[in-house]
Amino acid sequence: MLKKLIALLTTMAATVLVATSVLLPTPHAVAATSQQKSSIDKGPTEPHDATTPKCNQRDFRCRDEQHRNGGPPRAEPGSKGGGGGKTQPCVSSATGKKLPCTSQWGSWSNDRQCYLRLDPAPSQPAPSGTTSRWYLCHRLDRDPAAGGVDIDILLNEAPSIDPGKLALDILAELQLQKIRIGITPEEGKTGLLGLPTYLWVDNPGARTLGPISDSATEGNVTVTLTAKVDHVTWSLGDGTTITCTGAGTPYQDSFGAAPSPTCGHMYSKPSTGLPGGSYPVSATSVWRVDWTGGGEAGFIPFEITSTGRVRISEAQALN
Amino acid sequence: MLVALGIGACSGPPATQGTQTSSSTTATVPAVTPSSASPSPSASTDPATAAKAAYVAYVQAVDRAYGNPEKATRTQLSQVATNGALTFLLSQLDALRKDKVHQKGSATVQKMTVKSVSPASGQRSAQVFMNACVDFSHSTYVDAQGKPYFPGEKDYQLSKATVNLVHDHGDWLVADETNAPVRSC
Repeated sequence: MLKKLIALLTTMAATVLVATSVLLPTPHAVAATSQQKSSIDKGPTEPHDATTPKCNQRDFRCRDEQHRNGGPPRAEPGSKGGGGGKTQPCVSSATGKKLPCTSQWGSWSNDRQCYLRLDPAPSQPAPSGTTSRWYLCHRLDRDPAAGGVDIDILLNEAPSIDPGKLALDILAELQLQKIRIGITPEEGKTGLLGLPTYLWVDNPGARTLGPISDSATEGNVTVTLTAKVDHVTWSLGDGTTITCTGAGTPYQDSFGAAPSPTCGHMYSKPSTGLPGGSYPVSATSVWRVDWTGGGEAGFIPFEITSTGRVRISEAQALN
Repeated sequence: MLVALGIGACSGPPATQGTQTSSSTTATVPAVTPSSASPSPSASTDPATAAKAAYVAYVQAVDRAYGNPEKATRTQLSQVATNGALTFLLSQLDALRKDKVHQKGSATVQKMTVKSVSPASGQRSAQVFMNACVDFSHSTYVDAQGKPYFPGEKDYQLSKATVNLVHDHGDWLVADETNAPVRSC
């Protein structure tokens, strides 16, 4: 249940991000990034110096640009050609149709006309002493009856890995938990009108309040995410909403009738006339989730709500 | 695929589709002159040999396309290239047409070294990775009047190519090629 909740919240958070944030690239922007990166795929096997040309002979566009500008070529030696840098949709050059930029097979590469993903079980090791990794290039235009085919490709650059999506994956893996409401009078008992109500987090920990941090790597993109509850919003059921930072203070008998020094409330009416004879109480832990990686940074709105009830009476408290 | 070379070409699936193999062989290919009279390779041609022949055919096809960009077609190139290699070539041809430039002369594959041969497995295509040395010293870009398009620039001589070929519907196609200028191979 909790995992479902977290998954749902994570999805919501993702929606919020896409809808409101410019911190994450759009899928098309990701594809464009992939194209730009692909221009430095598979670096040259030999270093260049002043005596060797900068563009390969087959790369007319590179040579042309170098010639026109009299400066550095658009593409690195050994590359596939110019980058361009414009955001482009993901398109099959064979059919001219737009494609989803991501799929179960990875992220679409307009340059290579396939979906790219890290090869989980490469048939041969990547060359030692390099940053090359084996990727599976999944093509749709061949043997569609079999769902396409995979081609091994050795790449230096991770293709279109979305650090924002990776951050969401990390967040889901963290399995942040809702807080357990600590309240006086505790649930099942009745408190007296005029006495303070204490509010606190009854299960403080890294997964309920943070801080908690984790990292994940995909390709050569490593994202580090840190999550911490910024505040807890308490809704007391009588129209009062209060915001507390920290875990609050658990009530102890020695406190007597003193109000909570950190997070509390004083009911002014009994709950007897309400449904169930009690006030509905909710506590929403509002997380601050920050991530950084892949040359980008962002935050993910994330909230988890817990609920409970509190009974307040004018009469003597009954156990 | 039009492949007719002394070292053979592939017209069928690789003969060895069993266990994963990795071989390293070196073949020196002299300047190749396509001949329709050359014998077609049998289906039993080993993947390494077939892939080498396919790469030579690819180089020749690219020469033809670059030599006459206006008439080069995707269909022609898709007989020797696929995937990123095909996309790259098509984009280059667009640029050549736009600038009214074409290639004069041709490249020659001097040496090929097969680095690995991977049989088909599941959805994975059979593949060959190889290094090749390509001589571009007799190849240059010229404009519509036949004048050098990059006058005064250092001539291109040799290129070291890293090539990935995939077995696709009975043909070996260049899926990816990195072509870095070098002083020697």
